[in-house]
Amino acid sequence: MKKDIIAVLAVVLIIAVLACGVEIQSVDEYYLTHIDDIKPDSKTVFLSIKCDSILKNQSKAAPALISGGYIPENGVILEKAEYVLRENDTVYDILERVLRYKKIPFEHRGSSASVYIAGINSIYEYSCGPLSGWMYSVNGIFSEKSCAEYVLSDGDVIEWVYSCELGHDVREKGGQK
Amino acid sequence: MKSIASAKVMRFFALILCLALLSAHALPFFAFESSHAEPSADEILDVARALIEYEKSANDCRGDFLIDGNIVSGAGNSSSDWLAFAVGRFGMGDDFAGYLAVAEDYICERYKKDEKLSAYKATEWHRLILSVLSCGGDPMQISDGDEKINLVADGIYARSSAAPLEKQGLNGLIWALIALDSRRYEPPENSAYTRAGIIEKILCAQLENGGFPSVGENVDVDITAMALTALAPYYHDETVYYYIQSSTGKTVSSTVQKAVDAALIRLCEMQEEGGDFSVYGTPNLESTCQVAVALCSLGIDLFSDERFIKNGNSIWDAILRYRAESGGFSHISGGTCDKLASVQALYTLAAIWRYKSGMRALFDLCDEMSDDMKSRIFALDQKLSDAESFSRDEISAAMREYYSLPSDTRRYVRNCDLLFDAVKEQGIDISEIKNSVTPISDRGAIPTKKAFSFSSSDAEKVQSLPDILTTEHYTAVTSLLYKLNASDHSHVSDDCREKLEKAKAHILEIKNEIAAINSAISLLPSPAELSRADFKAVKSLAARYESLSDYDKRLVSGYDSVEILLTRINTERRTVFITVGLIVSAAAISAILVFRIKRRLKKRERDLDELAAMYESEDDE
Repeated sequence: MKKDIIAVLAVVLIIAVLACGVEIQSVDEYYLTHIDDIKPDSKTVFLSIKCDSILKNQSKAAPALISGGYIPENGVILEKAEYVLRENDTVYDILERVLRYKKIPFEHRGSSASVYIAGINSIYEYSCGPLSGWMYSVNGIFSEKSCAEYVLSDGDVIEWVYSCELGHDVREKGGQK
Repeated sequence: MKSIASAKVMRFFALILCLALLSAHALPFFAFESSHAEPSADEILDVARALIEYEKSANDCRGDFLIDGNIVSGAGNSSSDWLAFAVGRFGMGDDFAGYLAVAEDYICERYKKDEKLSAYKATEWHRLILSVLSCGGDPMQISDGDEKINLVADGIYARSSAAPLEKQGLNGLIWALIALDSRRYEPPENSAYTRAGIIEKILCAQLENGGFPSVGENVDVDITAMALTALAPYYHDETVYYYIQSSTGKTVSSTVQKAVDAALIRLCEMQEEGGDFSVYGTPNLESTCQVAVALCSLGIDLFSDERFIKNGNSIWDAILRYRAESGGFSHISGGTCDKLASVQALYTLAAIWRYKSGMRALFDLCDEMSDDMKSRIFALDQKLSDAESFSRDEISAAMREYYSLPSDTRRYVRNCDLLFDAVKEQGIDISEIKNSVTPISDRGAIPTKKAFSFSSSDAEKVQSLPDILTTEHYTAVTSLLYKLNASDHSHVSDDCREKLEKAKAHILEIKNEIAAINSAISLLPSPAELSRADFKAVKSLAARYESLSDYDKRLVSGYDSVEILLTRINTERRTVFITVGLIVSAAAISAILVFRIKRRLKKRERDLDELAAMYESEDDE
């Protein structure tokens, strides 16, 4: 009789486990597969990508840029959103990962510490006049560092903007190098 | 320019003193802290050497050379090119064949695309022309299989109308002129751009206040300085240009000299009290460097010309304030070392060192003048410091001496203004003298183009290549093959050549595979959007990645995505497996349970039957 009770309990347990749909994996695996999930204790940063300056400088823009349909109507390529910050992530790491996940094409030059972002969403430097190109700010301050050298910290707000006038139209000074 | 005559005399005393010190090998210890002291050429070289050591440690260069590690593998990128250019201009020994080999591969690879080096930036060509020349190569003869790529044509005079030099604004025109003049390249007839045309376009952009803008009508120090560097070779050219000034719409007639003098006055006004220059109110090293290069190109002594000494601070004093203990340089004084600032500092040091040593200017890459030629120019220069008091005959003699110099060296007679002023005062006919003199040639000149040879130690290097190659060996293999092809290789065995060619082909295959893996990774879904359809693609990507060597694995970017997807796949598989197992075991336990209960029921039935039978038999008895 005891054996039967244990057997019934085992069956009930198995059915309960199956009904809950539990994934069976190790702690490391759990951590790896959920690395980009935002949890209450996750370190995060905010990222947005805008090219609205082109809308104000349409006369300067290359014809292919306008006809290609790469410029969203409101000039926003990526709305400001929160992303998980991994250990030692740089401005480049976050941009590369988010663009890869969102399937937004981009092109960069250089390697290791000196990376220059030449184009995002098929909008390239020099497409809107001789002084146009991509630049970034962190917490509102435009940095002169290469984006692959700028290590981020929790809560940083990164904005990538397309400038048509070497930054004069979008900020006071600085520049992506 | 008469007003600075005394400064020029002073400068020559300083130069003589400096040469005397050099010849005696009595070099005093140079303390960087003691500012306002004019450094010797060797002291400038010491600053450069420390900077090179800093760059070496920052770029994973483990050997004796700067062209190593990330710098050689990055040939074709701005900072690699400028660093290679700078060491070439210092005349230091370095792995120039390595740079040229990798740069050639980079150029050929880029030329497979429609846009070639860049869809927009002509300066990509200009920078490579300068760095290839400085390393001893020929930018008109970049080997692409049996074809030859001509960077000078494609980047300057034969630019297509789709990507004109002006596309980059004034920058494109300025660097085009600098690159065109680097070895006095002559555009063929009917070219899209001519030398005079480019000069005129640069002059058009000059603002009324003498400066040059980067955008609109605001003077930009860097662009103004670069424009002066580009116009420097034409300072004594008497051609008058007629053009319409862009900013005012006025028709202007001007010589280059007039335009340069106006820009110099503007720069002089913009110099800070500390000797440096600012962009948007921030004094910075790069702007200061560009002005230093411009002054050296114009033959102006930045240590003693009073126009460029503020509050006792020269540009040199300013530059040293941006120097860190590590030997590197920072963008803002006292800031952290910065890649761009350090790169610009290195070629600026080369410009100042060359000026101090009486050599050709930084961007004049004609064969370097022999010592004989340098002392001839030096002697004439000394003589000319008294030109104001020359008699008519003395002036004619000096003129003859001046025109006997090869035409491309005359700009280095720094006192020739004094001579021309005297000529004007006395009303002497220059053309008669000019036509009666045949310029001498500089037989002892040191050729800019380097002769590379494939030595027996190179052959040994080929023999010691490992059997399993990775992209780590790319630079070594490419530069050995470059040397082999560039030299007389009749003494090299066919086996050696074959081994190198096979090695290179194999490494290129690995490179292509890495590129293919990288592009496949960029097409993967984000982990959240993974579907069953992606399982195969992810597994095959993981297998391809695993077959790479450890070194090559590091060149794959975004592999974390594959790892996440792979773990998800494994988790899902395992979950399915275990779920099935659990269902089966639940079913089995249930079956056993049912069987046991049935058996027990049957047993009870049987027992009852037996009991009934027993009672029945008892009743019968």
